[in-house]
Amino acid sequence: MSQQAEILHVEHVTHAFGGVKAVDDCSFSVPSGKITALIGPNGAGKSTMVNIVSGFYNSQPGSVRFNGDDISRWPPFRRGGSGLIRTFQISRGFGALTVAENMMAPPQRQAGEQLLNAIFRPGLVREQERQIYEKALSLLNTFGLYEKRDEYARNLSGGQKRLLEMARALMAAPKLLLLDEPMAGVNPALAEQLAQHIVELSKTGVTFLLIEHNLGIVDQICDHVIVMASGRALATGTMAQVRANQEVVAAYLGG
Amino acid sequence: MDSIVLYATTLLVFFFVNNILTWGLNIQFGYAGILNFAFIIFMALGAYVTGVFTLPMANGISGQTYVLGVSWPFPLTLLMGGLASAAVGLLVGLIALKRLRSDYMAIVTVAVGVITYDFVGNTTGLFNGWDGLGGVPSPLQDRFSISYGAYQWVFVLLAGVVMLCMWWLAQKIDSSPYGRTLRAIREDQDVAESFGKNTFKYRMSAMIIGCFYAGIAGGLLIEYITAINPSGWTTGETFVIWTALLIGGTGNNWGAALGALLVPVLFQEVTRFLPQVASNPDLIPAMRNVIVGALLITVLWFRPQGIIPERKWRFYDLPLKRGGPAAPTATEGANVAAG
Repeated sequence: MSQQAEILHVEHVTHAFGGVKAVDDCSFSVPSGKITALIGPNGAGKSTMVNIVSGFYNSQPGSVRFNGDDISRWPPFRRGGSGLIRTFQISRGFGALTVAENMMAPPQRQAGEQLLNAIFRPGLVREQERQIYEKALSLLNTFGLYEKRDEYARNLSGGQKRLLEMARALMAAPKLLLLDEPMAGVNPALAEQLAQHIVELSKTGVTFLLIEHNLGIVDQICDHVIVMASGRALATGTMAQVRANQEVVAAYLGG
Repeated sequence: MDSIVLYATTLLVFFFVNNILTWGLNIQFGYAGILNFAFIIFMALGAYVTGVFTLPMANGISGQTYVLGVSWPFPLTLLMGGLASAAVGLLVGLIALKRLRSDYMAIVTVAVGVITYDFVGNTTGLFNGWDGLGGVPSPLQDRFSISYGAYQWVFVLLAGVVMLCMWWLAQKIDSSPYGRTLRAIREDQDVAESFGKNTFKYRMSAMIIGCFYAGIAGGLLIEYITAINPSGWTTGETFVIWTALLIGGTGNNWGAALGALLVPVLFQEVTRFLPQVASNPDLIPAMRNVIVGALLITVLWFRPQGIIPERKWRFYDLPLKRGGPAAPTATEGANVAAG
């Protein structure tokens, strides 16, 4: 496949915790502009894979290519800076910052993040802050969190935190969004809402790779499915294709 | 000379110095979440380096041995003190910030503090060892043909100007996107890192700036009291600054200043001037620690965020849903605090 067609390519990645190989010689690729699901039973190595792709774990051996670059040795911030943005399985965030500030922290290369700019170029910083804030508010509006903008992030409900996580990730201008169980612990109505957001955002050119156990949602929104089991990518294809795969049925979907 | 003038000016200078110290620690801990339990050594380094840049060449007459001794003029000596502390802060940061987090980092800083203390004390040729530096000329004193008492006010003015510069910078950090990123890193380093923030670089910058503050504070101190020796910066002194910050309020420069006024100045310094109890000379210093400790526990119990906590940043409203163009209000900046 050409680089246009696949945004992420993982090859022969292995990661062991002590003697346990959580990810064992796993290879797959994620098509650009699509919604891909990474599914599999508990302990299949999905979250480990997210941590490897986002740079929080080092994979030895194996390689991760993103958008044409070999990012295997890049530190996490450099991967984030290049548009590979992840969320966490358990909602995490900047609890003592307000919702608006949570939205304003992520954008890359803010002039005011350099102290010298903040001191000597206040006009530039103020103008950029205004743009960032307006973008933040419009996204919060889309995600139904506008009214909560001045609330501390730690005071949000579990579902609101999920919404904030996704909205905040979008502030970082992602090319690929890695969502680690975005719908865990979320009520069905809100899960539906999150799914709609993902579909809408996908149309704007953001590629998604989501780990999800809710196969109904996966079936509904995902173009492409990767099944992991015992640290390997067992099968890839559409949901209908993997459902027909005997190995997958035995390992995960159940008979 | 009027002793009440000396008393007042001394307290003022101590207040200014402790303000700068507490702001420095606030930049490290309040914004960036760095646990630096060796903070006082950066003050001491600033003092020593300012001292050896101010003093003339060690000639044996004064009985002191130290490096440099170049008799540089005032603002430069202070700057060198600040820069030296910042440089050592960089080195400590390379050890403590690269891979370690919170508690492990704290242990490393404690170790650095103890090592530095013994090293400076035992290396007599560096800063005159356990006897410390003395007789450091006060800045510009020879330029003014005024009385010692009047000079005190000149120094208060000098220290006040330095303090205001440091305040201005601390407030810039507080209100800038740089400060926001530091606070985000403090809240969750992994999340900040995953958004492309080089968290090591940011934490290192806060470490360096905080140590620069400590160095400037130390420099001012030695220029004022003209001497420093290791008994003035034992490990315990670090916790006086910590207590001040925790009581006053972390993440807020006003809180840090209030803490500096309450703890090091009122409790540590004012009680120093109280009359001794003849039958028990240790009573007042001991009571001082008891009261500071009790105050810390009380604040942490009833108001863990400190007396003046980190402020909640509110921004102007946009008429998003009500239609019409998105127009910032008269406040025009983004960072407009309303609380």
